[in-house]
Amino acid sequence: MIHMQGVGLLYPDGTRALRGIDLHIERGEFAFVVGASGSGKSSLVRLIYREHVATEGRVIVGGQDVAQLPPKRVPALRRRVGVIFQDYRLLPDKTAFENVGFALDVVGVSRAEKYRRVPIALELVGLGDKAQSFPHQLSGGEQQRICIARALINTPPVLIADEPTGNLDPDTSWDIVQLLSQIADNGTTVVVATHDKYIVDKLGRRVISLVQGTIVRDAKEGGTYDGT
Amino acid sequence: MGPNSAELVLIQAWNALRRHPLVALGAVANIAISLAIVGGFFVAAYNVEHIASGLAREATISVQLKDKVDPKKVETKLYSDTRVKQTTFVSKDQALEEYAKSVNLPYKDLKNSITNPLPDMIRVTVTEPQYLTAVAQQAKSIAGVSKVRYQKDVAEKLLHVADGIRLMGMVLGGVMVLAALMLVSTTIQLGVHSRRREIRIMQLVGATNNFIRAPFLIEGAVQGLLGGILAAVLLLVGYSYLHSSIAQSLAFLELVYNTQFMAMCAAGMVVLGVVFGVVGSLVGTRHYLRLI
Repeated sequence: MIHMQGVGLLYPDGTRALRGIDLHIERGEFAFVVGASGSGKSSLVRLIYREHVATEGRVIVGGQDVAQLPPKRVPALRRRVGVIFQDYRLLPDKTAFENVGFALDVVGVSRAEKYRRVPIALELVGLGDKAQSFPHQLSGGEQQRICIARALINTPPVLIADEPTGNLDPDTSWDIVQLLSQIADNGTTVVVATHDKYIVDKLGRRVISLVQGTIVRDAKEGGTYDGT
Repeated sequence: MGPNSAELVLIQAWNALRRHPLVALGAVANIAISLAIVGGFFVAAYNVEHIASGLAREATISVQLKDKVDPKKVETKLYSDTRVKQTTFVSKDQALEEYAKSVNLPYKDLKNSITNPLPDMIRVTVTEPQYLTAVAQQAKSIAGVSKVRYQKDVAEKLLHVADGIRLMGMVLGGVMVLAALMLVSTTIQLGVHSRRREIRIMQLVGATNNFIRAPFLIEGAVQGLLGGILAAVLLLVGYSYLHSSIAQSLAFLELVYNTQFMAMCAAGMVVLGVVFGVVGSLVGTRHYLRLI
């Protein structure tokens, strides 16, 4: 599903974020990308939905070279890659329902279809009763769940989470990660960038470790944060 | 764009106007004032041009006849030129009467005291002031014509002035329109800037740039429409006031003042307002949509 070959990323200011990344993630696989701050894990996952464009190598998502994609086709890619952000990035003046429904609006889904699908997605993340709440009325964990519902509503084949538990307490973090793990079990490819050792060790899934922009370890099933 | 999307775009535009009323009000006021200044300038330039070319148009050619020439023949010949608008025969007696009136002497006394030195003549007006010279030249060659006189300098200078004003009006007006457009797009850009986070989120969930831009364009068009209407009211009220005060104190200055002209001005303001709003929004959002 996701294939990277000789990928490097050099920021315009000359900072090197990634170097020589070779990576293959199967359909329906769950993978953590871990490393200290500045190790390049966020940069790596951002290549997948083209928030960053690789300066070297190839990034292939669902058979398509993302780096070669003309700007006009980027929105279509993003509809196939759901993204969960550390800071949730919800639209502040829209309700939970509207925020989730917005991802359907941009695809041009009918109103009836929207009213059918949004409650299901909210129910899935356990927020069926918060549809009319605005983001500022929700806790961090709840906002993150809204963000997950939005990322899932178009049933994308790939789900990216960039530090999804960065602002959450350990219990809430664990709930969120379990939710993501279930989503992967249903056939969605899930990639989670994190430095949360607790959830990585507890879940025991594939762990890709980055140090200074290079992969230093790739532990398949049963991996831990520091490989011990 | 389907019916649902069109509805969404309208709702989003309406919400933006409703949720940021001060920003919207600022943009409307900005458009109204910019437009009223541009409109006022155009109306002033149009009037000055109108007055100058009107004065030039009133200039007449005096075609003086030799003694005992049949004025009808000359008049017919003059009138056969399509550039001639009107010919009027003035007999030497009439000319003397006019002169007497102009110097405030009783005509009878004047007539009895001197032999009339004035010739018979034909007054010619032309359809367009720039034909004056050519028609005058032509008249000279007609048999029975002794002399042709017209206010060459005055007419030509006025024409020159009118041309200059028209050109200056277009250049300055163009510059003013551009400046106003930049001001408007900067104001709109401020509004867009406060929503840049929103725009980025829309992009990241897969919204196309057209989808993101549409509500901003509608918003700009509505603001432009309101600004244009306000500018039209300002312009018409201001101009009516100016017209009535000029009619009292400077009656010889005849301003263009009719329903058609006023309606054109008002329509121009409204149309220009919508154009300003839409173009301003296009320019204002461009920066934030360039990043994919």
